[in-house]
Amino acid sequence: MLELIKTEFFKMRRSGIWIPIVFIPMVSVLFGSGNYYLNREILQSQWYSLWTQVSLFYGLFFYAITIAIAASYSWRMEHKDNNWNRILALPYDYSQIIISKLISISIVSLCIQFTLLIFYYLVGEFVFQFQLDFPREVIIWGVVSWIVSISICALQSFISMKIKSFSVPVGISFCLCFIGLGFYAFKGLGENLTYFSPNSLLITSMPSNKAETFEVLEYFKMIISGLGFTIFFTCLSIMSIKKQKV
Amino acid sequence: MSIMIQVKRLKKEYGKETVVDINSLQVKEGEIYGFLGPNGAGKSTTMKMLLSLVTPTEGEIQVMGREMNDKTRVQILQQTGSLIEGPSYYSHLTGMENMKIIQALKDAPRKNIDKVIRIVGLENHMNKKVKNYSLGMKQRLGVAMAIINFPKLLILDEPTNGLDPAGMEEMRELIKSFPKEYGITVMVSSHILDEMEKIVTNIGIINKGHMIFEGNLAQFKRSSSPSIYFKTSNPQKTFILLQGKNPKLEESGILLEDLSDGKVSHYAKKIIDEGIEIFRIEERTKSLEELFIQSTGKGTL
Repeated sequence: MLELIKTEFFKMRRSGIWIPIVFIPMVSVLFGSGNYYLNREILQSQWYSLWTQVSLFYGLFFYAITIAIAASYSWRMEHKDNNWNRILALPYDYSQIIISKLISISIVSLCIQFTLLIFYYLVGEFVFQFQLDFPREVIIWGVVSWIVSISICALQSFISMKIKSFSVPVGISFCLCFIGLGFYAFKGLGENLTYFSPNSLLITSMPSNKAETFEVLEYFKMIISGLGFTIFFTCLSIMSIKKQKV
Repeated sequence: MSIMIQVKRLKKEYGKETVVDINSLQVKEGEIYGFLGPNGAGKSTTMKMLLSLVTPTEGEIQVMGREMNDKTRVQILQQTGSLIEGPSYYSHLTGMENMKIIQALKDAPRKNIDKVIRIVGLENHMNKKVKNYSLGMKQRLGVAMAIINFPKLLILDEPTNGLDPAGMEEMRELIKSFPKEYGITVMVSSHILDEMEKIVTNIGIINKGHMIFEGNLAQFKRSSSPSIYFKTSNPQKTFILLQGKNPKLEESGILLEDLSDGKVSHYAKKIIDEGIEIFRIEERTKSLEELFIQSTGKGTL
């Protein structure tokens, strides 16, 4: 199993996958910083204010879409050049194959998150030269939203496994972001609607309109819901391989 | 000698279409089994079922004495190498990187990489990206990957596809060496029936999903009597003379099927009596291709 995961990273060698991993978080920070700069009059909470702006586009779209690109890339290698036949003939359980894909994409997601935080820190510390200390909450949000992002990894991994195209799953991800936004913003069906789609969970986990800490219970609900989606899409992927053989 | 693959009543249906329906298939340890048949006959689907890449609609598959199913497949696949529907590779990686991946995943010793690339003759191309390989090199890389752990059983689906004649010959020599030198049992498929003739011991011929012959190659060839070729001074006239015997006209003679020794001398006399000279009487063994056409009444393509 460890070999499978190591192999996933070995396969990413000399690939262009690092470009979106670095570039998209960078653009998110650029957008956010621009917004912050233009609205300094209203945004007076320094690190927190910058975070609300940075996480706005990133949390709504960019993060999920970068994950979708990574998942598409990872599966395209298997769809191309007849690798699917070899993967299924490997002496591993299908669950091991699916889970190692998920773990590798989740680690890529962690890298995306890490790049975002680095750029965020650099801009806050050296461009805007905030006087306050780097807020600990941001680290917590970063970790929690990464954990939540694993459900998006599982979802996108499933879509990209089923769809051979590179761009269609990314397009689907874009649509899911809108649906997620709907789930997040539409409170008509109750406050808890946001826990019922991975994309709205991701938005929730990166507070962009309220720079305040969550209650422990909220974190708990987010993580449980994220875990639920992760398990669901992982099982769906494994079942789908078994069905595909028919 | 034990049995590596044993199939009883294997059936695969896609909707209403039956793609494979064979009563038996048996591959013995240490042999090279030629699985022959035209394109679309069901060879790849059968091989995929043997490797558990496709689930049969009906039937039982035993590989190395164990029934192949979702529970046993991992154990069985550990001792199996395969190349199905062309080579699998990561084109943005080098040959060596591709080999390292399969070596790690199959848990084979590191030194096997050097060994297998020398066997397939790719040792000078390992630092090149696979996308820059020729098709022949990709096929050889595919075979190297399939034998990385020197499996007990090797299943090769059309390994000579896309190779030039010299490459085909090399591939045949390579396959031929597997049972003798490394104790690997080989099942190899081809849509060119004659291609594997020189290296296989037993064959299975499949057409439209049905096994039309399975057994010893020599026996199969003996099952049909050779044709007799008469080279004469006037092939046209000979052809008309023996019209009733269903002759085949060739450039400088005619060909007759199913002749006993007595008949040969009888026809020879008849030809000479007509004033036609006979220069040569030859016995021609039929190629597998011709035997196939004869038994199905159709060409392979």
